[in-house]
Amino acid sequence: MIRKRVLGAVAVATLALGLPLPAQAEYPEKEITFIIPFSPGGGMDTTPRAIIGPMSKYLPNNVKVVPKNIPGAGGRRGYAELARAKPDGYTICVINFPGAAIPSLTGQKVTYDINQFVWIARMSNSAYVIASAGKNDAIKSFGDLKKLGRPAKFTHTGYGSTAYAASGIVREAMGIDSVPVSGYKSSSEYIVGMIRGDGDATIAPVESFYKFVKSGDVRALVTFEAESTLPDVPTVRSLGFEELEGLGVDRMVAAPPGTPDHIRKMLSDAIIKAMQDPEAQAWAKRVRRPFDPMNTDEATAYLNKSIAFYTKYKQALAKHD
Amino acid sequence: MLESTLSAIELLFTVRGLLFLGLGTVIGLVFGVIPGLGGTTAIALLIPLTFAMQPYEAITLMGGIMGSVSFGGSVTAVLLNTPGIAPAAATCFDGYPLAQQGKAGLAIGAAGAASSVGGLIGVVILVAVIPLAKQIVLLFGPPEFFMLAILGLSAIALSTGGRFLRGLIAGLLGLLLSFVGYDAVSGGVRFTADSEYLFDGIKLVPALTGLFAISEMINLSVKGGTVVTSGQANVAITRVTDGVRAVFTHFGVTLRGSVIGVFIGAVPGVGGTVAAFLSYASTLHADKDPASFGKGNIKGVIAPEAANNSKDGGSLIPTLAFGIPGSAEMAIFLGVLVQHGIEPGPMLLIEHQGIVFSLILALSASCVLATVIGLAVTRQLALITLVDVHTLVPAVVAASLVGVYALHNDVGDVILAMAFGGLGYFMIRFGYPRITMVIALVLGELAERSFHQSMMMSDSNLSVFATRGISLTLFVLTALILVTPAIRLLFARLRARTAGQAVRPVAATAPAQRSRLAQLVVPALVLAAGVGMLVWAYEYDGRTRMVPALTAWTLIVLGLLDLAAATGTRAGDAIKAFFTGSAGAPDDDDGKPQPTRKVFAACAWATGYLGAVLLIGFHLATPVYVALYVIRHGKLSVRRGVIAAIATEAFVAGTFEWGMKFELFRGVLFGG
Repeated sequence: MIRKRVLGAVAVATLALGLPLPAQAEYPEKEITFIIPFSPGGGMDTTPRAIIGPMSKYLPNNVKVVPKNIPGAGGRRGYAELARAKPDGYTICVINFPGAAIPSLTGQKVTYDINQFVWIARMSNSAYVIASAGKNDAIKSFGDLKKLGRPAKFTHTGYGSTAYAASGIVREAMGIDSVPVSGYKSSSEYIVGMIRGDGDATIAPVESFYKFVKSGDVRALVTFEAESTLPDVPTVRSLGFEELEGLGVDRMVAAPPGTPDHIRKMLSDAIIKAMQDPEAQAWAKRVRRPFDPMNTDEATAYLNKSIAFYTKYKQALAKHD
Repeated sequence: MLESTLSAIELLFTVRGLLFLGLGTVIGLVFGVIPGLGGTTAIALLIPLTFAMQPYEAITLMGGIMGSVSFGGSVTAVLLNTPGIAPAAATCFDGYPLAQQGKAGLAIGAAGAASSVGGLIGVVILVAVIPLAKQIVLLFGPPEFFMLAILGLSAIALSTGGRFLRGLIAGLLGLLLSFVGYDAVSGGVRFTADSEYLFDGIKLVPALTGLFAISEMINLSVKGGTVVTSGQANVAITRVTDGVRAVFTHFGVTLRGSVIGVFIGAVPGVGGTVAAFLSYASTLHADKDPASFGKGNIKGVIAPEAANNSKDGGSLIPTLAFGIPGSAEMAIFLGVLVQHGIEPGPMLLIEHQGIVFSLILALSASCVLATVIGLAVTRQLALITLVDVHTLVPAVVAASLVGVYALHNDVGDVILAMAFGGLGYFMIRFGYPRITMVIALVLGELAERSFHQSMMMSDSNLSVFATRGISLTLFVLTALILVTPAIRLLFARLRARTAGQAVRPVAATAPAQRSRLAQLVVPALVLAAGVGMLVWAYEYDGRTRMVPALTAWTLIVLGLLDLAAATGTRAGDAIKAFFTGSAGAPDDDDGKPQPTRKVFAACAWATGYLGAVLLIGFHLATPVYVALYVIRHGKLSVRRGVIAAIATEAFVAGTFEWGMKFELFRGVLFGG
């Protein structure tokens, strides 16, 4: 303890003198572990994997960045591992937002505190789209969802998921009453469930819909993007709900609570540059998952705002049968 | 269509194409042979490496693995009574008795040929239904999935032969286990005791590895000796070609198995285990002489093998139509496609026909290639049945636990597998069929989820199951399956009565050597478990509680009956006679006494290894355990112990750390 304090004093002194601190100059000296709290293959896995190669180019000593999949409990296992890790810059983690925030907002017990994470960067954002089945003639526009004479049935994975949370916010803020048909394994499954007629409509990130809109199986009703990437689909702003613009899933990068500022900035710079690297850009183009970078300061401000937004809608996230 | 098929063929028959196909096939065979490892693990571990490959190469490699893994799994099933992968469990029933009779060659030959032919039939059916794939997938919604799950559960429960009552009980226990964890329908978390590990529920790969592989290793460890029990060890390896021929002489069995495989394969989340058992059960019930199964009937090998390999063709149907994976392997494989810029889904067939045909071609080619490679080394592999089991046990235990760890990178899975290993061993010894528990574990979640979904989509109207054609058909089929054996038994009794003699029950239950009191202990424990789960279920409410509570109530009723049956009173015997169904899968237990001291020792060695892995990690624990076990417990030479230890560790380190760049658990003492 005393030793630490002395070191701290020395650090302050050296900083004040504008001299490089030996300990700092050395970071990073060994490989950095990039926790991926999901199984290999999905977007939460492939996005960080696309930047870890170029990332080491932009770090001092060209240290390697090694991905480590820790799947389980909807990401909680990986987030808990991050929360436990030493704040020395050698462990970072990709975070699904709002996926990681929902459990504690709905009163579940989790072993990490999302408010304590140090935000390094945002990699991408997938805005939501509400859609109905292409063959469903009763629901051809967003307005039709209100004219059913009963609550609309929304298919999704289940209570506690990001899509369930979104349907709660849509109910509260846009006045679309809905009941769930839940329990599907993935967004492709619940979209197909909706096409099959298990439910009336569904809500999912825009990327999941491209192929189905193209094949005519799905009709997009409204998009939460700032500018629609789907043909002839109104944005939430154009319908008068500008507060909801950007509602979707963010892929963030975080470091353990207490990570020092200089490490936070160094990692942020490396990730931002890695996303602009031709290698990562080529990947993004190929898989049609564009990066939407934010550096550590922007990401922190953005996350604080977003957490406040979801906290405001806390009641809407609750279970609704 | 023709053009893309031709270009796919051209791409496959390049040096690189054949290289990746061969590599995939060999990896698939090895991962299939070793319990605990499987196609899912192979593909999951190889994913990061495929990102650097050309799409066609990656797909050929994956197709090679998927096509070959099931044959590898059945080789172990035949030789060691331990399925290399869970779907091969049905192959044990008749494959292992054949090996014990010294006919391992016949069984493996049949398994190999049935895999190839089944795989090819699966691909042919797939290609035939591709134009209709979308419509077919849309025909099956939650009510149909629910009815399918019920159909599967009923068919399997009935196939446990003389142990029908305990088969049902094991099934109900399996259902309760399948409800553990997060329930996506209600959003509730059940039976986890606040453990983060159990949030995802009882994971299938570790549970099945424990139930099938670890339990059988404990069993072998107690028994000792060699697999071949007949005196004529010299005939052990012959008749591979006879086995191949049998697949064509019983082509009806092969075809039925393949069709069942495609159908079950197309249902997301069900997979090969259910397909293989349904195929086995239907072949057994359709046969003129059901009593010959379980004693080395070659049809009992062909049926599950054909189904197990044809399911890959089936699982591609929902994948091609909508991008929904039909199996665990396919789910990971979709990730590979996305990474190469190919979006699985309705546009795949239109935009990337070449990719689709490359995969189909690799799948079919590897089915055949795996069989050719496999049969070429069958002679050598079959020699395993002549080796002292004490050399095999530690190697298999170590390799399967390593495999279990590698799949999710979670040491909790290793502990779970060991726990299920102990459970499985006691189920073998006390006559509770493991297979109904396994099927219930696989289908329980699907059954509950699709039931609630059916209710949600129909505003809680039960008629949803009757007003949809396919759902109704499946319901009628289930009813027929449940009623047929009873009717058959009734006719047999009537005929016997007119002939003036009593019908003997097909199989006698519960080994007789245990004391009356000892026979009551296990049924009482099962009953207590039922009551415990019921009390626990009432901590939850509404949808979260409904199905688990219903299952627990049923378990309590059947548990009481089982307890009564074990009392040996007249009422007990009447219950026993009533629940002695038709012929079915054989008893897992050979009924020979196993001294408690030996059982204790076998369990202690396995637990000791687990403890060592947790403390000092796989790389230190594995060679030490293998060597010590072979020398101390197996009483074999030091030289053999050292060789076994080096070989096992070389495989573990070579495959994972070196081949797949995967870091195994280092032990808590070393910061793991």
